[in-house]
Amino acid sequence: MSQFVHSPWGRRVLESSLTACGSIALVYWVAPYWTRSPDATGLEYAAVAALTLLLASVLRELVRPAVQRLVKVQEQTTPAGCIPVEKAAEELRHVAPYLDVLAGQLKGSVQDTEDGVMNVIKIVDSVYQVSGHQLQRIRASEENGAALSSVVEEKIQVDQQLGSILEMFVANQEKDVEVNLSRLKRLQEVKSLTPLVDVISQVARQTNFLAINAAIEAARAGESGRGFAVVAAEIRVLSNRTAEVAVDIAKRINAATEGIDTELQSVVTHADRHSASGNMRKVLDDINEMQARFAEGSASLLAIVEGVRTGHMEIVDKLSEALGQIQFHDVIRQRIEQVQNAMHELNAHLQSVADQMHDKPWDADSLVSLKQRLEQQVSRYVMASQHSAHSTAMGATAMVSDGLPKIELF
Amino acid sequence: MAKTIMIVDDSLTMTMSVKSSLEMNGFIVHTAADGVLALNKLKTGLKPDLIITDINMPNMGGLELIKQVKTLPGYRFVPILTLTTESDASKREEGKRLGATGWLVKPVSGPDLVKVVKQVVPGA
Repeated sequence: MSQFVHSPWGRRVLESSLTACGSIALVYWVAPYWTRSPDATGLEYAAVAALTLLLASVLRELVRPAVQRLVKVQEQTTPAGCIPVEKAAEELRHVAPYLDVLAGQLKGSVQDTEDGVMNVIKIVDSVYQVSGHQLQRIRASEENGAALSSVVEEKIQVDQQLGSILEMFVANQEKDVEVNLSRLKRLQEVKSLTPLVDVISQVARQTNFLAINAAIEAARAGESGRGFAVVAAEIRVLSNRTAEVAVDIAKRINAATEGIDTELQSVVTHADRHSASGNMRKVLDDINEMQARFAEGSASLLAIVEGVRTGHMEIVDKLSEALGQIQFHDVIRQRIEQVQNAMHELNAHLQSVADQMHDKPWDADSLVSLKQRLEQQVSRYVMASQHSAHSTAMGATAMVSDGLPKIELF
Repeated sequence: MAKTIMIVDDSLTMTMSVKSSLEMNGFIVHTAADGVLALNKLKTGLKPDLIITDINMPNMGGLELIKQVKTLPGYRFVPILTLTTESDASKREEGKRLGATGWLVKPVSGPDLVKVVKQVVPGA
């Protein structure tokens, strides 16, 4: 309307309209007979028209200054140097794209943080997978180790039993060797009989000589020596027999003791009583040491596995905690969305004000005030933090919390 | 046997973070972006041991979902937890009245959530 009034053709239209209306009204009032009577003649109508034109020209001179004064009044209501109303309305219309830009920036921020959070979740998942794989590998190692340990333990037990048996065997062998040695040594003592056999041979020879001498003397004694000759002959037979027996005994002793020395030496050489059982004990000791080391290694491996398992559970707890913290994103997203909605409402309000400043007639009832809109915002809040921020901004006492527990099981 | 949980939330980050946290603790997790999608999954035969739902969602909110689930044959005794930013005490009361098992306000730490889940899910 202001624009219309300020434009030249707008002023003319206004002037003409007012002039015409005023003229017709005046004529209608001044010449009632002529304007209302159906019997009026053409001359009378012409007279009315002339009168109307005359009044219009007079009225125009009166209306023009009034319209000019109206325009001047409108100009005078805007103080000098301040933004004109239409300019203000135009500025308000430009708020819409400005707020759209801000809303777009907020939306982009929400999207960026959402992308970042999703990446974090993926990384957390991958860390969990890596830890899980480590645990599986360790468990596999533990199972393999346990199987190996079981096999080795069985082997060790078998070896220990075998070792015991061998030890017994070795002990028996040593005993047998001792017995054989003593037997051999006793056999060696038989050799000491050989000199006695020599003595017997010598005695036999001398007895033979005596028998020969006795025979000679018996022959010298003649008849009286005949009995003695017989005895001497018998003694000679005995001595010969004894010599033969002695030779036989000597032969048998030699046969029996032949090779004893070599065998004895061989037995002594190979029957090193410390060598066999010593080696066996060394083997058993090595087996025991291996068992002890294996037990120690198994215990270490078990401790490592337990450590990895505990570590994995700690990782799971920490990752769960981190994922819980990510929930802040949803809280912020909702608060930003609420701000975006408020910005849209603000924009709608400003456009409505701009309309009523310039194009549409002022209607106080239809325009919801910004103050009312702000109060309506409160009904849309869902979080205690939103109520708190609103109260703080309005200068009221902020509500620290709604007093309800964060976790409640019914 | 691993227990099954369905998470209903229109926030993707919320869904994925809770899903990861619960799967790390041995649960099988299904998701839905709103109440309508959740109900569809239930009607196709999914029988979770627990439902965790947000309240303010498009298409169908959490309170309506609770109401619908409790009337679904065979699902009346499925425990339902809410996990929401909603702080309105009247909505909490309504949730309780409709049959929710518990009310959790975001953000809830992962270990606390797992602890509550294990309390609520039988045999977990």
